[in-house]
Amino acid sequence: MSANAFVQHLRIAGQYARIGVIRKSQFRVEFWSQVVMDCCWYASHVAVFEVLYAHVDDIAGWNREQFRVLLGFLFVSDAFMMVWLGQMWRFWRDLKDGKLDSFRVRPGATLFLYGFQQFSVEGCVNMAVAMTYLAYGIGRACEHVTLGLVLVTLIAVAVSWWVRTILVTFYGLVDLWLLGSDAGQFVNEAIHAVADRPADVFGARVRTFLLYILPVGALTQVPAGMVLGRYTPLGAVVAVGWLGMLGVGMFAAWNRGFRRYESAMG
Amino acid sequence: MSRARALAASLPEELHLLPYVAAYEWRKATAFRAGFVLNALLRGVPRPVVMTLVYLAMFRSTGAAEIRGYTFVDLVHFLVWTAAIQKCIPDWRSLDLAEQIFDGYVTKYLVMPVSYFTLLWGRFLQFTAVQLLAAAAFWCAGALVLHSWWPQPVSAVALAQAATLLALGTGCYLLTYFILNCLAFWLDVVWSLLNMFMFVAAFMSGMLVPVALMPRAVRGVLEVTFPYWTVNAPVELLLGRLGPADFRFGLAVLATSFVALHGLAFVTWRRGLRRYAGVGT
Repeated sequence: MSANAFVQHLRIAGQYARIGVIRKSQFRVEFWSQVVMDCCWYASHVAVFEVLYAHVDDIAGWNREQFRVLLGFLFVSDAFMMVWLGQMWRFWRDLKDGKLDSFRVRPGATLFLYGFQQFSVEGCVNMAVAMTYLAYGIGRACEHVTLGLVLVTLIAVAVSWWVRTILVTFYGLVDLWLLGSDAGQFVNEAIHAVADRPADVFGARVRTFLLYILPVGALTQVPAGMVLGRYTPLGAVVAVGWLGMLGVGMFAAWNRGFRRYESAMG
Repeated sequence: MSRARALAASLPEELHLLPYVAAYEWRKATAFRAGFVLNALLRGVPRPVVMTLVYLAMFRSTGAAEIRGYTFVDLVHFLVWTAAIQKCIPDWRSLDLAEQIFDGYVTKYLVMPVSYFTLLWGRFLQFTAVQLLAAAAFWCAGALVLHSWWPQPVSAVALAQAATLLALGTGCYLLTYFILNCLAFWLDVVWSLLNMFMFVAAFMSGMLVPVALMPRAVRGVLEVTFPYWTVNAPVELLLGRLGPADFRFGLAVLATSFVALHGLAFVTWRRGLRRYAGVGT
C-alpha cells in the first residue's frame, strides 16, 4: 500500500469515527447498555477463572497472575473489535441480503471500507476498562514495571489487535465460501471457546496450529507470552513477523473470496 | 373480564393454528441447509471440548482425585450434558422482534388472524422439537463413539425430571428474550441488553462452570433463579447428584418464574403496542 493510499484510508477511518460519534449520540441508553454488556462479559470470564483458580494454583503452566494477563489481552482485543470491527458481526447477514454492492465501487479497500465502517464510542470506554484490567494483571504478574516492559506491552497490544482483525477476516472468508451457511457464527463460537483459555492446554501439534496457522491462541497467548517473558526476543520477532505475513495472506484471500459475491442473491 | 372471555373464545382457534406456525418456522430454519446443520448439530460443542482439556490440566496440576466432589470423569459428564442441554435453550437470535419494532414491521402482526403469542409459541415448538432431535443425535453419536466416557442418565425418573425442568426453563428463557425484545418499543435498540442477559445467564446457569464449584454464598443466590434450574440442576439430576426433593423445589421456582415472566411479557407487549407508531409492512 502506497503512502497516499494509507493516508486516504486514515482519512476514511476518521470519517467513520465522526459518523460513529454522531450515531451514538442518538442512542444514549444503548451506549451505556453496551458498556455494561461488555463489562458483564469481562466479569463472567474473570469469575469463571477466579472460581477455577480457587481450587488449583496452576492450569497448563499458567498461574493466576499470569492468567490475568492472558485475559487482559482477550479483553483488549475484544474491545478493538467493538471499537472498529462491529460491522463484521453482520457480514453473514449483509452477504445473504446482497447489501455489499456499494462497497465494491467506493474508493478504498473493500474489506477496510466494510469492516471498519461502524466506529463505536462505547467500545472506547470498554477499551479503557480492558486496558485497566490488563495493566492490573501485568502489575500483579511482573515484579518491576520498566520502560522496556511498557514498550513490549504496547507491541503486544498491537499484536492482539492485528490477530483479532485476521480472525474476523477469516470467519468472513468462511461465509464467503460457504454461502448462506452461517458458518462465520459457528467459527466465531469455536474461536471464542479457544481464545479465552491458554493454548497450552492442547497437545503440541494443536497448540502450534492454534498459535501460528489459525491464530486463535495468538489472540491472547502470544502477546501475554511476550509480556511475561515466555518468548526470547528473537522468538518474539519471528512470531510477530509470521503473524504479520499471515494477516496479509488472509486479507488477500478475503479479497479473492469476495469476487464470489453477487448481489443478485439478495 | 370481557378481554379474558375473548381470549378464552379464541384459544381453540389459536391452538389449531399452532402446528401451522411451527411448520412455517421449520421451513424458515431449514431454508439454508448448511447453516441449519452447523447451528443445530455443532452449536455449543467447542466450549465443552476445550473445557475438558482445562479440567484435565487442573487435575494434572493438583494431583487431586476430585474437586468439590467432582472427579475428572464427573466434570466431563457434566460438560457433555451441558452441551446437550444448551442446544435446547433459545438464544438472543431466536427472536427478531426488536429489529421488527425498530424497522416498523410489527404492523403486520396486528392485522393477522392470530395472536402474536401463538406465533411466539409456534416458533418455540419448532425450535424445541428440532433442538431436542439435535441434542439426541449429539448424545447418540457420542455414546457410539466414546461409549466408556459418555454419560448415561442415572435413571428414567431422573431423565423425566430433567426434561420437565428443561421444558419449563426454556420457556422462561424465551419469555425473557421476548420481554427484552419488547423493550425496543421504548429503547429502539436492545441488542446489548439481549447479549448482557446471555452472558449473565450463562454464568448463573452453570454453563460456564458448575455451580457446585462456586463459593457457597453465590450458590445460595443462584439456586433461586431459573437459569440454574434450567441447566445446572437438570445436569445434576441426570448425574444423580440431586434428588426428588430438589426436583420439587426446582419445579416450584421454574413454575413461579414462568407465570411471572408470562404476565410481564403480556403487559410489556400490550403497553409497547400503545406506543408503537410504525408504518412498515
